[in-house]
Amino acid sequence: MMISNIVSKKEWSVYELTSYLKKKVEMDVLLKNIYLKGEVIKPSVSGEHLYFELKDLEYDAKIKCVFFWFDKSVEIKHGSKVLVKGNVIFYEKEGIIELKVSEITDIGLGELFVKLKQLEEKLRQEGLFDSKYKKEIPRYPKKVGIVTSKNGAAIRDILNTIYTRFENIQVYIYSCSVQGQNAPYEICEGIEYFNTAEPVEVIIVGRGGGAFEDLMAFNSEMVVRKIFESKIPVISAVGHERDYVLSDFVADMRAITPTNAGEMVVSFQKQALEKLSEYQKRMKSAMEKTFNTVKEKVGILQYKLYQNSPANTVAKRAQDIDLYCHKLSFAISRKLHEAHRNLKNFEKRLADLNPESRLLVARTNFDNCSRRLGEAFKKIFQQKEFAYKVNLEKLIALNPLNVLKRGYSITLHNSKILTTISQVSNGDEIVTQLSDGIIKSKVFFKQEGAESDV
Amino acid sequence: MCELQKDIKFEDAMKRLEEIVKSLEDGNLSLEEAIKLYEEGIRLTKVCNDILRSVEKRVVLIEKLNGEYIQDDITNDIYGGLGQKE
Repeated sequence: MMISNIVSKKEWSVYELTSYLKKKVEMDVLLKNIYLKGEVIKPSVSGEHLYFELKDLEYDAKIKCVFFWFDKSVEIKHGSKVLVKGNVIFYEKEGIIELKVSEITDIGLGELFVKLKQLEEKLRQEGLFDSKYKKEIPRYPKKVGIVTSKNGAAIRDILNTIYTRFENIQVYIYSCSVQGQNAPYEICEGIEYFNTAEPVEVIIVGRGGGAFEDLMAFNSEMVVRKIFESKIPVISAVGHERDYVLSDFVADMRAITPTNAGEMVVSFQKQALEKLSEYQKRMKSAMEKTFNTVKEKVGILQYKLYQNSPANTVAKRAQDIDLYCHKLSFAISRKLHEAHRNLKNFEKRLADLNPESRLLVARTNFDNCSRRLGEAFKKIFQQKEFAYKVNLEKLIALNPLNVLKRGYSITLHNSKILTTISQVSNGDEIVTQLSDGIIKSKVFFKQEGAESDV
Repeated sequence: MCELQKDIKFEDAMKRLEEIVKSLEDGNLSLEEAIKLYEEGIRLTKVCNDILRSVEKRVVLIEKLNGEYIQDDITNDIYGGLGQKE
């Protein structure tokens, strides 16, 4: 595109402008391989590349920088004062100028820090941070002033903290800028306002967290001096716990966060409320205890009184008498019972010794003996009778007459029974007796020896 | 009881209350003394409660506009316009 073409045109497109600027910038030899000194602001690493801004403290001027494939061994921090080498480039798409860095050298602490340290030292020397000037923060403030931005997160945190803990408190918020060039003036105005126009019991000055740079207003000499001069105690509540600003040193109390500042102004009141209800409870229970102790004592006395009353004595005696009666009747009944038992015993023994019964026993014995005698006699008699009968049978069987009946006979000579032949001689008279009579014969023959054939 | 005047300091009242609670709890008091102390204690809790609750919740926003201070009561709308941006 020829420049003459552009100049002759009435309307440019954005692209026409950006590409023109790009050419302008990149063709300028003065913008090639320049060395730039400044302070690193908000460095951030994305992948292999380092992005940051370089700031000129004196004129509050900044330029964006990018360092592609930077050497990670170089540690670049926020606030570092560095010397960079690079080319100025123009991004058409964004419409911005950047420094494309090729070298970076850390040249020590940023001037910002140095200045801050110097200021801190100066104010310390003056005694602004001395503890002897610290005012006491009221424990039970009813009216609190807050100097901060109405748009910051801090005010919400503080109000939330206060009102979720304790309702009965008035909060006055002086809205001001908390960063940027006007911030120190506005903060001072806020502190002044509460010291004159709207007296409060305690002032909270602060803001939420942010980059080191964003907190600079609270490092300004003006604000530090204003806090020091305040007649009303000031609590400094800036950023997070790790952030330290000069207003923290000069304030009468430092809150680690805005939330913490809220806690500081109401925690005692909240505790006091809790304590009050606890005290009430404890007093009540202590009183109850005291009453109970007294009641117990009265009860004991009442009991003793009753114990020693005449009516009770009479009743006691009556009771004693009753008791003795019982004991007596019990003793008597026991005696009676014992006697009765003895009597029974004797009766039994006596019954055992009765002659009638002994007679009965003797009679039974006699009867037994008599029966046994009879039986024994009868047995003997039967035995004898049997023996007799046997003998009789035997006798009957041995009767000679009976033998004669069977054919046998007895021969007699001279009334002597012949048993041998030699007793007779021929011619002797012999008598033969048969069963039913006798025969007289004469011996005419005799033969010894064998039986006759007859 | 002279201590129970209206201008008693809150912290003194709390201190006295604590003493009262302790001596009541010790229990070495006569009934009359105990009742007296108890009454004083109850009155003190009332005083302290009154002091703590003497003020009602109120939130006021002050802004400087065109060189003038404007006070705006935002008690019922605390979070309506606060901490929204940034």
